[in-house]
Amino acid sequence: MESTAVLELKRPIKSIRLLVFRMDGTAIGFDTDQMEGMTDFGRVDVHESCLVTINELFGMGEESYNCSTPKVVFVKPLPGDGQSGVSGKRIGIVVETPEDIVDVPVENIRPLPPVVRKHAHATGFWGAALLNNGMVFIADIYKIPIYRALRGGGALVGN
Amino acid sequence: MDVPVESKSDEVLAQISQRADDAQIVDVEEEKTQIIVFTIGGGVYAIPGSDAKEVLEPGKITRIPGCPEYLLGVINVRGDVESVIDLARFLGLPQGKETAKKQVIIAEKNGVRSGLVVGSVEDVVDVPVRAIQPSLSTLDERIKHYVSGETEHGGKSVTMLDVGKMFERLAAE
Repeated sequence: MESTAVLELKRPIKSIRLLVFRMDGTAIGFDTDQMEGMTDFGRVDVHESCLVTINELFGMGEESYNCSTPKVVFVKPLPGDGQSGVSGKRIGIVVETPEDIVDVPVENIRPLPPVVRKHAHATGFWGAALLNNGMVFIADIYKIPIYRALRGGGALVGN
Repeated sequence: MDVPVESKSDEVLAQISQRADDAQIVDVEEEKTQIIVFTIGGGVYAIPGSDAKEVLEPGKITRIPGCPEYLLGVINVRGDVESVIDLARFLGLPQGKETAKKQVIIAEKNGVRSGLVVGSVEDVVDVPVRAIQPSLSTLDERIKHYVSGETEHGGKSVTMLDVGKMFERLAAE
């Protein structure tokens, strides 16, 4: 009896859309596919959300925001997460006003050099996008230890 | 037996020629190695030329959050992203003046590659292998492990650094 093999072909990723902002002068990008949305900080119900500043997220300590118009980026829950966030709250990252949203072709993305890879991976960074005006480090939100701790019911940060 | 006087000049010329040939043989046989001489932390250091790929002006170094202080970040070298290490800080040596000229040596050893920020590259020179002596026992403990020998260049003592040992530590940390 002949068996029919089902081939599942994955389409290659051609580009990644990044939300770019700055942390201590360094340009950082989040894949917009990992985001649920972005809103003004003033419009967020803090009782319904678990907020973490960008510096806290990367373990850089608390940072007082001088920015007058901070935004909150809500993280898209992973499939199977059920309710996202700690105790069902949505996890939001407080960032300064983002600089840009850019589509970066995969051929313009480089893996991080081996010497920095271990340190960078520990904070969720996995690559560098080469843009005309400089370099943007790409972070995988789901691999950032503090985000994982929050998702797993860790201590609330920023609230 | 004395050389006949009529052929003495020929004999002298033959001897001179033989000496010149011998000298050439000595020159060819003397093993030399290329070294890159540079300054850091007020001292003069060198690495083997075989471990250095190129020397660059620092350009824009982009810092990566979460890395140790000696890991300054990365640079874009013609489309390749290279890590950059502050060699003085890595070795625990005093920092040079902030305003002083700096350069980056792209080094590679045992499959590990990184940029090393140094004060300035003074020279790229071939030195006889025998001119590289074992390092002094009185050497600074902080860098002893990374030193492969001592030599002299331009009247100054030059400390030879072992790129492989430095990169071993980088890979382990």
